[in-house]
This record gives sequence, structure tokens and C-alpha cells, in this order.
Amino acid sequence: MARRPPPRLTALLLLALSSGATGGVAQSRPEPFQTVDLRLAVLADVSNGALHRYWSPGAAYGAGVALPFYAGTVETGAQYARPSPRRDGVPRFRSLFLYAGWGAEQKLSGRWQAGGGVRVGVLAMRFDGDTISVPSRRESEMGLALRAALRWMPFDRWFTEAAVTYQSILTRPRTEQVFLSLGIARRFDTPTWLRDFLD
Amino acid sequence: MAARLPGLTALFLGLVQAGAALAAQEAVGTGPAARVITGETLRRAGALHLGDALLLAGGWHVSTVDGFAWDASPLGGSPFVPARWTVLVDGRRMELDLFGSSGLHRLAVPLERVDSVVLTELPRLEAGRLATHGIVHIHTAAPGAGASAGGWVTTGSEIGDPGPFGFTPRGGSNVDRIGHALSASLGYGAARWHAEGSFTESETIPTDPAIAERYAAALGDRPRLELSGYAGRVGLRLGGGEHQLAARHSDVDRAFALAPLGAELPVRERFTRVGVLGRRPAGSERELSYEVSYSANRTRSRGDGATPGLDWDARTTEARLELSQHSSRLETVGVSLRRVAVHSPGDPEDPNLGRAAVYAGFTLDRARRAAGAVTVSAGDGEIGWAALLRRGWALPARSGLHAIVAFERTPRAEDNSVWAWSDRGLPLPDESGAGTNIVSVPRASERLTADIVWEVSPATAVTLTARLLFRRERNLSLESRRLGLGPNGSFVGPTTVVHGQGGELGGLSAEAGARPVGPLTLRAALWYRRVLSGDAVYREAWRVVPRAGGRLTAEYVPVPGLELWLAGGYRGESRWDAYAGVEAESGGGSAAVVPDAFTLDVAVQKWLWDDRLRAHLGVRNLTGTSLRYHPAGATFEPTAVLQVEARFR
Repeated sequence: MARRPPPRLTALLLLALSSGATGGVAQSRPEPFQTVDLRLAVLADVSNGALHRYWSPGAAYGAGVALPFYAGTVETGAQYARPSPRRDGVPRFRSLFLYAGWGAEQKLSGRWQAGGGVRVGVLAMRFDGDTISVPSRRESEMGLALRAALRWMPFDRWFTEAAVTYQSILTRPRTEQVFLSLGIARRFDTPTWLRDFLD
Repeated sequence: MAARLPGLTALFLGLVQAGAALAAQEAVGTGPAARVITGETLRRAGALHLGDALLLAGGWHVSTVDGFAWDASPLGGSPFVPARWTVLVDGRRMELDLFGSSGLHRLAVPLERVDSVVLTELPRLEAGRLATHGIVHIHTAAPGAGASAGGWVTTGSEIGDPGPFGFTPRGGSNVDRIGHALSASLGYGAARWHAEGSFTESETIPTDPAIAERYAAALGDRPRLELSGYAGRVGLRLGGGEHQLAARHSDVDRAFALAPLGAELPVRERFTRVGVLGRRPAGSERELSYEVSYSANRTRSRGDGATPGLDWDARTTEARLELSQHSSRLETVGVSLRRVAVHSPGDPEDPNLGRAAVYAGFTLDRARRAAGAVTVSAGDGEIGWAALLRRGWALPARSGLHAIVAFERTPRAEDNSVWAWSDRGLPLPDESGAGTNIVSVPRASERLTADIVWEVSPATAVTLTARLLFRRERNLSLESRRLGLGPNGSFVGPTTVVHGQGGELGGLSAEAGARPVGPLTLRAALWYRRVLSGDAVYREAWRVVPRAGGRLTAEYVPVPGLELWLAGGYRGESRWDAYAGVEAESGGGSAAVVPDAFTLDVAVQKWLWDDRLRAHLGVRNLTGTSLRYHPAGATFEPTAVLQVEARFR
């Protein structure tokens, strides 16, 4: 039977796409790859899904870069977590979500900016435990995430960001998580060699 | 189904709608006679192997059990064993036929070196043969001026494993990886010569539940399907002509399924080919071309002796000489000589087959609207011949009509199936004790083909094509099997080989192509085929081929270096009578009916560093359709594909 997309997913998707549609028009935007934003964030999983019946997700840590693209922005990064078991018999594991994404930004007023985007990536997992055979200790699955963010830019180069991210790893059953995050970022001019490489 | 990936489905719905809207504008198309899949398209589609070119073309019937080895036949071709489609690499005919199947994987052509794959469905004189069963011609890119190097790595994983939930009471195992493929090449081009060498390697992990037990029984606890291949060529311009020495070799470790042996057997396939091909002017209007080649097609058992052996060594030597006359009505005349020597353990005398052929291509009028070709061959005590007539008419409104009629009588010397070799005295099928019944006696097969093609270009860069086809076949040797469950998930049952089978097939196809504004290319194709009349086994053999299919592809390049790909496909239902007993025994497993499937593939890639690097991410079967090609084969779940390519000049 067909399953309807979760309401939160639809809302996030609409926000991401609508901000992407207007972001390039409402404000003058930098040239593709002209700048690079280096971002660090701490994330807290506030959802309660299939994963949470067996594991406590704990805090996650993210790092990534974002650059202006021909439309919107492109980004790549990694998000690390170390869920711990809530029940006997399931292993502790480490996970690393490596992603690439696209997003768009919309200036609100003053030093405030809203943004949204979509990420596609691979969640690499490494399971601990002597009873697990070596080939079974590693697994990777594709995942995607939708993200909405509110950004405060008090200085030219530095800014902070609060975001909500819906992440779905395409396991069976689906590993669905919603993260709230706080982060800090610094904007740099992209070195010429890197712009030449990317463009 | 769509519900399995609601987020992605919603996201890409917009792309589909955008593609449909653009299709209504304008552009170019492909005709059914020759479909060209460029290396650029293979890259955008994230091709994993050469068989993907057949999938992308549309109209070709493709089938696989494990996703590693692919069988194929064009619309109007023959899906029967032996496979009679012709495979060419840079003008050289490849003797890939191994027990009647022609697996492109044995070519080990690095995908990064493919310039284009041209798929021809209409009968045509090519490399000294009149091919009526379709041609796959792979053109590789010649090295550019100076030194060049390139490499390509692909990996991926099926989506939908349990991940961490595999350690919970829910269970399941994390196994469905698709392995990897990589290739590398070096080349150098100068004014009068060029040289190139390449290496390719791949590994496929057959862990799909439908095949895992059988493949583990054949290949051990850590089953792998592995390919490694090498190729090299040296080209020289000399005396106004061009001459090229080319060699290729591949080793394939895999599970080989052969009907009389009952189950997949562990084998190493080795394919080697060395050849010289050249041409030079012979006067102002004439050109002389030649080819001498040596091919070895071998299999060696890798089992522990408990399974039947499959040791086989077939060596083919062929020479061909051809004269082309550009301004003459007799355009081409040629002669070819071929010798096949086979060795198999237990065979008291190694049989040799010799074949000699002459061929000619001609035009019937000065305007070259009507043309034809004829070949006559002798071998194995039989005479074979084939003839082709083609006529074209220019019609109003930028349209044209083509009619092509061909007849082919194929001598038994061309039959490389295991049954033909059994007739020649090799003991292979009897060793397994699986049971074989032979009905009637083999004779030279006959095939009549008729095609009508209408093409129109209603607007700039828009092409529409429609094709009607008819096939009449006689004296085919077809297999009929009734299988039951065997040990380790295998299937056992006697095989009946029925000689003298025949019937009539009809079909039609329609295609549209568009290259509107520069960055968008759209192609759509629909096809249908149906047995019109025929013997019972002929009808049964055709039921395994879906009657209908369709394909829509869109390539979009919004800015140079950023490329988007979308492909939708429909594959009709197929019925496999051989597995009806298996389905009943297993309570529905290995169902005799392989259901129809709609699939959607998407991909995005970015060229970096002035087109020296390429990063590709794609998802196959995004909507999660249960996609299978064979009742005993793997199900192809949604799969993420990652590809990286580097090339330097």
C-alpha cells in the first residue's frame, strides 16, 4: 500500500525548494565558487523512531564546507555519531554520514538569513563487538536529508546558524532522525586554484 | 514502489515534469536502424558495464541472472541459443560465442575508452558477414596527440539492507553490495602512429537471496564474480593506408550455467584475441582492406571435482580480404577463410571446422536508392548463403520510407551451441546425467526478414521513426526444459532439444528524439513484438521475452560541466514454462512469471579541473520496483552508484 510522505518531510521540502526558487533573485549573489563557508555544528537527535528503540543516539558532530553554485549553494561534509545500545545484544556502533548537498538562501532582514537544502550521502557504520564477524562489522547505506536553517551574521565573515534537519537512511526499516543543531561558520574567499579546479 | 521512497519520489517528480514539458519543443532523434550510445551518455547514465549500453538503447531484449553476465538480442533478432548477434570492436569481429552465448563482459573493454556503441538492428553486411540478428559495434577512442592517461572507478550498494537493525530481533543481513569496477589506460598519439594500453578489473558480489545459495554452492563461502582484462593496440599510417595491430585478453571467474549440466558451475573463462586490420588505396577509386585474427575461447573448471567438468578450448583463425570500389555499382567484394579447432578432455579426436565465404555488396541504380548484398559460405559439408535487398524512397514533408528484405540459410558449421558440439562427438552434455532428449535431426536454419521503416523530421532537430517488422524462421534447434527444485537452491530436470522448430514473428516500434535548446536531449522509444504463428517450442521460447517495452531518457546540461540524467523504462512481463514446476514445489518461489516493471534512474555528475576529473552520483531503480530479468535471477533493488573518473592529456 502506498505510504504518504511524512508531513515534516513535505514541509521541509517545500521550504527548501521555495527558498531555492527565490534565493538567486532577491539578492545579488556571489559568482559560483567565489567563497567557501567552513561550518562546524553540534547536533541533538530529538526524534523517536525505530533506531531509538535499540540505541541512544547521543550527540552528533558535523563539519562541512559550502560554496555558491550556479544556482543556490553546494556543500559537502561529514556528520559523526556514536550511538550506544539501550538493550542487551545489540552492538555499540560509530556512524559517519558523508554527504553532498544543494541548498539556497534568502535574506530576511538586517543580519538574518534563512536557508534550506537537500543532502544525499552515504552513512558508513562500524559495529563494535568481538562476536561480530569481521565482514559484518562494516556497512554503508545511502541516505538523504532535508534541512532548514536560520542564520545570524553579526560580522562580515563569521556567522552562527541554528538548523533543523530531517535525515533518512535507506535501511529497512528506515532509520529516520530529526536533528536540531547549533553551529558556527567562517566565510573565506576561495583560492584561485580551487575555483579553477571546481569550475 | 513509490511509497518506499516518498521523499526522493517527490523531489524528482519536478524533474520528470520539466522533461515532459521540454519534449514538446523541438530536437533530434535516433532511428531504429542504428542507435548510437555515446561515451558521454554512458558516463551520464553511470554505466557499470557494457551491457548497460544495450539497456540504454531501448528495443534490445536483455536478460541476466546475476547482473554480471548479460544476454541480449535486438527487436527482430533471436533470443535463442546460439546467440547470433554480431559483436565488433573497432571494426573487428569478436569470436565471443561460448556454448552459444555471447557475453559482452568477456570483451573487457574499459568503459572510459568507449567513444560510442552503435547498435544496428536491420540486416547489414559488416566485416564480411551479412548480419541479420543485429550488430553491437563498440568504437573506442583513439589516443589524441601526445601522451594521455585515464582511469575510472565505480562502486555502489543496493539500498534497503537492515544496517544496524540486522543486530536486532528484526534480523536480516547486510550483504547487497554490487562490488566495484575500475579501469585505467595509457596512450600516445603521433602524426603517423599511435599506441594504447588499458587494464580493466571488476568484482560483483552475488549475494541476492535468489541466487546466493546456488552461487555459494558453486563458488564457495565468499562468492565473487571477477573480471580482469588487458587490451592494447598500435596503429600506423603507412603508404597511404592505415594498419592496426590489436590484442585483448580477459580472465573471468564466475558461475557458468549450462542447461545440460543442471546448475551453475565454477569456471574460469579466458578470451584472447590478436589481430591485424588495415586498409590501403588500390588506385584512385578503390581501397583494399584486410584482417587476420586469432581468437581463443577457453573455460576451465574451478570446482573440486564433485561437479561435472567444463574444460573447453576453442581456437579460431580467420583471414579476410576485401576490395571496395566507391564509384562502382559493385561496391564491395571480399573473401574470408575461417578455421575453428576445439579441444575438450575426454574427446577422442579434436574436431576442426573450416569455413570459406565470399561476399559482395552492390547498388542497383545510379542514385543508390536500391542496394543489396550477398554472401555464400561452405563448411561442415553444407552450403550457407544470405542475401539482402534494400530500397529507399524520399517522401514529401521531410520524410522517407525504407524497405529491407533479407534471407539467410545458416550452415551447421556456424552453430557453436553445446548441442551442436555434442552432435559432432563431444561427450559434454552426457557427463552430468541431467538427462537429454533429442527430437528430430538438425538441419541448416533458415531466416527471412522484412522491415519497413518510416522516418520524418517534422521540425528542426525533431525526428520521429516508426518500424514494422516480420520474421520467418525454420529449422531452429530449441531447448525445452521442465525443472524442479534441486540441491542448494539449484534446479534440475531433463532437457529436450527439438530440432526443426520454426514460426513467424511480427513487431513494431516507434521512436522520437529531440535535442531542443543545446543543453537538453530527449529520446523515447516504444516497442512490441508477438509470435504470429509457430511450433509449440518456438512459442514457448519466445514467451521468455517480454512482448512490450519502453524507454525515455533525458540528458540535461544546465551549465558546462554539470550534467543531469534521467531514464524511465518499462519492461513487459515474461513467462518461463520451464520454472512452472519449481514454482509449484517451492510455494511461489522462482515464479514462472517475471512481472512487468517500471523503473526510474537518476544521476548527477560534475566535471572538475577543466574536465580532468568527473564525480558521478546516481540512483538506479529509484522507485523500488521489483526488477528481475529471470525467474531464478537476482532482484535489482534501488542502488546507489558512485563513479569517479580522471583523464589527463
